[in-house]
Formats: sequence, structure tokens, C-alpha cells
Amino acid sequence: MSKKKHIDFSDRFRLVSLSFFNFFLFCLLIIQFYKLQIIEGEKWTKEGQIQHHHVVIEPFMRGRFFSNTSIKKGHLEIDQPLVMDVPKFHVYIDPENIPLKDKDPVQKKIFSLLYLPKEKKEKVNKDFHRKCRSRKIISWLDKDLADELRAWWMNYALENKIPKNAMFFIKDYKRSYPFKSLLGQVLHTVREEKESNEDQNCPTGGLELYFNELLKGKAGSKLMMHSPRHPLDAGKVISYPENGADVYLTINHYLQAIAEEELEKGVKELKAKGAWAIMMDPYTGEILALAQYPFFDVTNYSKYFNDPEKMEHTRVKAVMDAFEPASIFKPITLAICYKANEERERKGLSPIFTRDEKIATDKGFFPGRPFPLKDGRKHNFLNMDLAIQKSSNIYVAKLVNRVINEFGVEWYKNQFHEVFGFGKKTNIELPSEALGSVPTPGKKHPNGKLEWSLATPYSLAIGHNILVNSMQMVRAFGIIANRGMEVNPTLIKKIVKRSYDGLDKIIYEKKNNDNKKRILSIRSCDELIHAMKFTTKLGGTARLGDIMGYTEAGKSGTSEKIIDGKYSRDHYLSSFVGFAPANNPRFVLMVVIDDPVKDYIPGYGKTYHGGVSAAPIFREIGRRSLQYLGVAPDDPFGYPYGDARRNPKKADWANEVQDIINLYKKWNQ
Amino acid sequence: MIGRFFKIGICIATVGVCFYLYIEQQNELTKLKIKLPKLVKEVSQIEEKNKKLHYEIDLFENPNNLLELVRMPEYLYLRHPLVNEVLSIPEGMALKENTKYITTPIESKVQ
Repeated sequence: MSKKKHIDFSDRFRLVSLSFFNFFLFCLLIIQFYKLQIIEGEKWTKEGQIQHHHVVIEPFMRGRFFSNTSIKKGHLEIDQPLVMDVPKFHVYIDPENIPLKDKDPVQKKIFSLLYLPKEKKEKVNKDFHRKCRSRKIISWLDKDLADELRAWWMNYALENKIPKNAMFFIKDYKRSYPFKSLLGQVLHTVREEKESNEDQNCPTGGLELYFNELLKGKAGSKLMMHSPRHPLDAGKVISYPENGADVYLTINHYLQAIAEEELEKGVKELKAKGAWAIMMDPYTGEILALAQYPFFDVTNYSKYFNDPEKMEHTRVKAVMDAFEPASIFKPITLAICYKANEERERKGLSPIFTRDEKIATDKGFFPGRPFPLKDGRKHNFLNMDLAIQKSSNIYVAKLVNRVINEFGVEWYKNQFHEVFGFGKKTNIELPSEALGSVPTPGKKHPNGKLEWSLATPYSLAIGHNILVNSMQMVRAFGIIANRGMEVNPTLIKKIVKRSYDGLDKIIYEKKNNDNKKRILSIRSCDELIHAMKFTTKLGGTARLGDIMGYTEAGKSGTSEKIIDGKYSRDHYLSSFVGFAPANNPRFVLMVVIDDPVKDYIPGYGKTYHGGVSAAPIFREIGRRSLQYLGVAPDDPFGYPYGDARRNPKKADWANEVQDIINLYKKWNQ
Repeated sequence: MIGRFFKIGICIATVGVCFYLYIEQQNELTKLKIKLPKLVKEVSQIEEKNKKLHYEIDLFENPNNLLELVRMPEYLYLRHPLVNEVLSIPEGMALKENTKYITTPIESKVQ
């Protein structure tokens, strides 16, 4: 039998103590494990993700503007952008991580790639020596240059043991204009600095401002792993970038270029301050061109906004400026007289006037006027055709006298608002549209004088004492051109939002409105057009507006500019508004010249008259546009002397013009 | 006894082959997963290049530029066609033998 080994109490105690101690340590480990994995599990997972992953922001593209390429029948409809976002790169540096000895070589490389002015180089040098961890040194670098710089930097950083992220590149999109200053005032642009909190562009005006909410996008984000050994998890998309909606305009870029070119030529010849033109489809209200000179070069917008004189060239004057229309308003007055005729006919009464009625126009005395109204030349008798041809003030004032005697001033005044929409916005899709102003009976001016006096109707008849914007005038002429149907000007064909997977969602699409209101009767429009055709023919005020090979109808006007609250005798706004071809017109076109030089052309007249300054520009824009649109000449013999196609006997309106010349001689000699 | 070992051996071999095939497939998928981000990057680079080319084409096709070109002597013969000179054929009809849709330009119905 072996003897049991006896274990001392001290050994036993030591054994138990050690066991308990180990057990205690093990418990601590379990507790720590529980604390880290269970209680603080989320926190450490997040920390781990931060350390191993980083989120890369994917920039979005702001919505684009497209030209109207479906304007020509039979033409391939390819999307033509007027504005687009082009990818560029911003270069950032971490100055504290670039050693002093490397700052100069890096700068030297950057300057060798980019041709920077001296001030910019000095600024970059200062940035390299700042005490900060991130500094943008170059903005809007092209991709090719960015790639070249990045490739050089990677090698340089490796060779010189500099952290690679001491220089990094951020992708961004820059607003770019392939057609440069075309449609500058209408489109406008965005500022180079973005809103820091939302990373959105700040528009400077125009359509960029009007549609800003739709053009905005939303940046996306991607999860990237720091370790390059795990490319499987590279580029996991958290959210896709949401690009802004694209806006398809009614404006055609070619027609716009024609209008801008002719305006520029005309303004330089007339030594004017500026000019603008609107071209509209009279049936659909689509604005085909909205041109203005001097141009607004949106790529150098800061040059304009830092100079008060240049800043006015950034405004769309055709919409934002209201002016006295003067003689171009006379067809509107006559249209109101035709409405009065229709009222009388409804009551079974004889009309207020007829087109062929012989009306005495030798005396211009009207109630309330201290001085008589005068015509450009004295005419003894005129009918409507002659009155428009000669632009007689007395004729239209006499008709208005009959209207207010029959229907009262309230009825007459309401026609401006209700029939033609003067004093109301056209709701064209541009900011800051001028309402214009129509005097109201009983209402007072801020200076206490009554807006409407006894003489007011006679001023209104000839386009004075009323303020309109050019878009309202074009709309009114559009109603006459389309034979009396309501028409509302618009710049937008459709708005489309494209998702990341290429699906299009149409947010808005202009539809043909078959329920349009009839504003004027067909007969009254026919007679007005008949009269307006004489304006551009022999004996008319705007012979220079005759579009060779085509028929046209229109009216010229000249108004004194109001400077410091008074009419100026030296500064004028000259205009011509018309449409072509006269029957079934393709467009209504209004041209306004701001402050043409005061001169005289023998055989034609004063250069500041609308028929001499604005009408030739109308003619050229009209001719080139009709040719571009493929409209067949409807006056194939109406060419000037010397042209082989000319046949004065067969030319359109040849007989009518001769008849009216004979009639004028008969009545006025 | 030998038969039992043989059967076990065959089972293990079968499982092994299946396992091998599965891992092979997973390897192929992994290769594709590694290639995909590179392809996506290449595609996006090509798209960006495409956009840049479109932009440069638009710069050339600037209407102001075209208006200048039209005035040059070598292009003076060019003119815009009239609407009634443009023949529009409905899509798909040109391939049909029935030629009633193809008439002289003036007689054709322009869409």
C-alpha cells in the first residue's frame, strides 16, 4: 500500500487563491468582452467603419436647357443643349503635410501645366505656406490636365515620401455654354461659388433663377474602403446622384442667332444704345427667338454685375421694361373700334365706322386737349387703310371719340385689360415681368393728379399715356395675326427629369389648347391685316420693312423716351411690329431700337422713326428666318428694282397700292 | 469491410468534387466582382469623354459659326430647302414594295 501524500494547508491555500485569482481575471475578461461587444458594440462598429471606410460624394449635374429643334418640318429632331454641365476638377492641398523643401517644386510643376497670371501664382504660393489642412488652390481644371497633374503627383509623393493625400482632386460640374453669349439675357448663369450648406448653384437671373427649384439636383454618395486590398467593396453606392430636370425651350438657336446678328448690325449702323427683338408663333404662342443687343456674355458675368452701366444689359428688356408704344398701338385701337362695331351689330344698330368710310382728318381738336392733335403731314380725308399707311393720329382719335360717346370711358378702358391683357402680366416664364400701366378713371397718381382726364382716350388711341412691355405687344399682334384667337406667349415646351437608370419622367409638357377663346372676329382681323399690308408698300411709313418675295403686315412707331419724368426731344424708342407671311403667318416679330441716332436719310426720312430704323431690321430677320424655316415665297414677283424676279404688275398688293395712291390723291389734292 | 471503405471513399470524393466546383464558381464570380468596378470606371470615363466630344462638336456647330461659314464663297451655293421640297416618308414604309407613299416631292404629303 502506497502512502497518501499529505498536502500542507499553505499549499492548498496557495492553490485555491491562484485558482480564484485566475477565475477572477477570466471574469474581468468576460465582463470587458460583454462591455465592448454588447453594450458598446454599435459604437465600436461605427468607429471601425470610419477607420476602414470613407464616403465619397458623387456630384450631380444641374438641369440643362435645350433648343427647339422641331421647328422645321422634315428636320431630324436631335436634342441640342444650350447650357450643360461639364465635368471639371478642383485641386486641394494639405499645406502642413507638404514639406518646405517640396513646396517650390510642386508649385513649379503646377505653373508649368497651367498658364496662370502673376497675381494668381502669388496667391497659390501664399496658400502653400498657410497653416491649415485643406486649401483649394486651383478651380475648374480640365480632366486631361487634372489627370496629368495627378499622375505626376503620385510619382513625386512616392519618391519624396510625402502622404499622397497632401494633394487631392474633387470632381465638380461647371456650367458651360457651347454657343457662348447666345440667349445670354434669357438663360443667365450661375455663380462660381456654391451655397456652402447645400452645395447648390446660385443663379444670377433669367431662366436659371425662374426654374432654379427644378434645375437643382442632389449629390449622391458612395462607400469606399481605405484598404486597396479589398476592391470588392469599392464603390458601394449609398445613394445615386439626382440630376436636375432638363428644360426644353421653344426658342430655336438658329433663329436666335439670326435675330442677334441683325440686331447687332442694326444697332451699330444706327449708333443706337441697344435693341431687342421678339419672334413668336402666333398660333401656339411659342417664342422662337428673344434677342437683345448689347449681348450678355454669361461666361464673364462678374464683369457685368460689377459695372452699373453694363448691368442693364443683363436684363431682358423685352419683358422687364415698359414703354409708351406710340403708333404701333393704332391697330389695337382699331381692333377695339371693331369690337364696338360688333356691339352695335348685336343691338341691331349700324356700325361705329366702316373701313372705307371717308373721315375728315384736317383738324385735331378733341375735348380736354389744350393743343390739337397733329399728323406727320396734313391729310384732309382718310379711310382706315390710308390712316394706317400714313399713321394718322387724328383718324384713330376720331374713331375713339365715337366709341366713348357711344359706350363710355369705362367700356373703352376695359377693352385694354379684358381683350388684350394690357396692364396684366403675360406670365412669360421669366422673372420680374413689367406689368405696364393702363390709366384708370377715378384713380389718382402719387402726385395727386387724376390718371384719367378728358383728353386721356385720345392719347391712348395713339399709344400714349399707357405703358406696355414688348411681350404684351407681341401677344396683341399675335391675336390679330392668327385671326382673332387667344394666344399666350411661352418659352417652355417641356420639362423632363432623368433618373440615374436613364428613365425619363415628363414633369411638364405644353399641350395644344383646343379650347381657346375668340378675342376678335375673323372679319375685323382680315380688315386690319388688309390695312397693315400698306405700311410696307409705296406710300407707307415703313417701306424699308418690305420683305422681298414675301407678304407681310405691320406697323411702325416712334415714341419719345421719358427721361426725368419728361418727354425727351432727343431720345426715342423706335419700333416695328409685324408678321409674315401676311396670310397664315409663320411668326410675329417685334423689333425695338433704343435711342437711335438723330439723322435723316433722303427718300426715307428721319433715322429715329420706327419705319426707318426698326423696319429694315424686321425685314432682314424676317427674310432670313422665312428662308431658314423653308416657307415658300408667297410674293414671287415682289422684288426690288434690278432683280430679275421683279414684276411690278404681278407683285402682291401692286394693284391695291396703286388704287390707294389714286384714292389719296383724289381726296387730298 | 473493403466495400464499406470503398463506398465512403466514393462519397468523400463526390463531396470533394462538388465542393471544388462550388469554390471554382465562387472564384469566377469573385474575378468578375473584381473586374466590375474597373469596367464601371472605364464606362463612366468613356461617357465623360463622349460628353466632352459632344460639347466640342457643339462649339463648332455654334449657329454664329455656321452663319459665318454660309457666307464663305465655297458654301454660297447652299440654301435652305422649302417645306414642300422635303419628302417625309413614314417610318417603315420605305421598305415596303407598295410605292404609293413615294411620289414626286411636290405631290408628297409632308408630315
